[in-house]
Amino acid sequence: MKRSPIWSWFWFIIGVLYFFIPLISTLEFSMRMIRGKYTFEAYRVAFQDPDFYKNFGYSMVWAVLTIIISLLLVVPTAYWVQLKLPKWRPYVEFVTLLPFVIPAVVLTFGLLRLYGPCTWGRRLIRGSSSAWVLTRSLGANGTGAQEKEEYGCDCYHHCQRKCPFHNCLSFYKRF
Amino acid sequence: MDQVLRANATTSDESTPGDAPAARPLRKSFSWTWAGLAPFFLFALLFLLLPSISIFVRSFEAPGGGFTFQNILDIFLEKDIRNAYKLSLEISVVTALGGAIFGFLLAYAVTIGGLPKGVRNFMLTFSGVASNFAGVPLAFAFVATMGNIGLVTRIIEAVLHVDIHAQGFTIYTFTGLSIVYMYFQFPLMVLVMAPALDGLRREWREACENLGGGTAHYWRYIALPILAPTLLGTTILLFGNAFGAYATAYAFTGSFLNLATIVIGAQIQGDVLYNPGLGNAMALGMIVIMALVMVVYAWSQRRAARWVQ
Repeated sequence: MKRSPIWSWFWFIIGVLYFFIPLISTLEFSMRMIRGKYTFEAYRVAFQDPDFYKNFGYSMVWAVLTIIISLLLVVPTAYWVQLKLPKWRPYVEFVTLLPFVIPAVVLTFGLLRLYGPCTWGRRLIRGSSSAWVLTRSLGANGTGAQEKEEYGCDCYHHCQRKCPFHNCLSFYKRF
Repeated sequence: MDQVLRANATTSDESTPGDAPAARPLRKSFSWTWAGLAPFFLFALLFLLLPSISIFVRSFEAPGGGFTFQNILDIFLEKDIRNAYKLSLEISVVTALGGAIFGFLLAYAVTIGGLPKGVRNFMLTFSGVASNFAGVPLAFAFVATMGNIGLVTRIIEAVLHVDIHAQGFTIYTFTGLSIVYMYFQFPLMVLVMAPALDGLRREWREACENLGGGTAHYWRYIALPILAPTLLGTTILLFGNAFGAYATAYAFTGSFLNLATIVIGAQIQGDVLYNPGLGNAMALGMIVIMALVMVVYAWSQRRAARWVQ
């Protein structure tokens, strides 16, 4: 290289500072539980808290589960489309772009309105049990409390119009 | 002519005599090969397409039921919603351009900028980590850095004796959030640009110099035109990254900054717009913007592929 890499070093150092200052600050912040001195008290408290393990474990379980499901779904598909159905490749590629086109919060919004409480999708998933749900709801006192109790459905608290799936005379606010 | 006749002769005994042209192949027996892709497409249908279709259909639903275009019009007419989109677009453009420029300079520094090899590996590894660092932990890190009692805030106070928060200054603003977004923006640029910069052949530069061109000529007429599709494509990725970001912004500013994603998030919690159809129309608007952006991205990728060996 002809030029001296002074500017390269400059940008590199700025980058390193950008990377590390927030991380160091987080570490420093975490050690300031007791006023006036640096301790690992916050970590001790966290590791002694049963809730910490519960929440952390929950996150871990979901992280691992989604990885397994993704692999099961994507690896055979990639294999298949590469070797057996190369014509389908553009369509598969199109689908892989969709999660980027639909922002996560928008997708969540759509999923909730499709499969959330008091939706057609939810009813579809319940499938065969829905007829039973319907008859049970008709017998209920109309508050929807029974569904909430038995099926985790929030009809009574969240319905704005008549919930069409459980026929409860309640209203939903969210959907 | 001979060959055609012979081809006809060989196929004619297989096909039905008379109406159908002799060269037409026989109808294949039904194949189950497609079933290998069924799980993937079923998943996409249930969890990507149907929610999108649901959002689309309900965007045209009037509050009392029935069809209306009012929700779509309201996106442009209602000031709050228009501002939410405007803010989202602004922060996406600013952090995409900022991340692209800074990321490019960094990628240049660690690839062809003359830094030692170890520095390059370090930067690429850390970029991989940082580009995935988003959401609540990232917001927390920056509150711990430049919040009211953040490390940097206190250092500035101790060294310069200036309380940067005294004049009502706060980091929970557009600028503050831009700085936070940049943390996951520029590393992504580094990750994509580093291989692209490696792909610039030494021969191209030598050819340029042999023809009497200087560094400026080389960048203006050779390197930048070759890198342009990658630069554009990655900047678009960064734009989408920022445009769809929700958790980071929500954790960092709460609802101080009304980004489009924050409004949709609020709409999930409860119908803050008092009109479910309008919420769907807002979500649809985001999908439409991202779709338009992805069209440009796809085009840029096709251009970039020309130079991939």
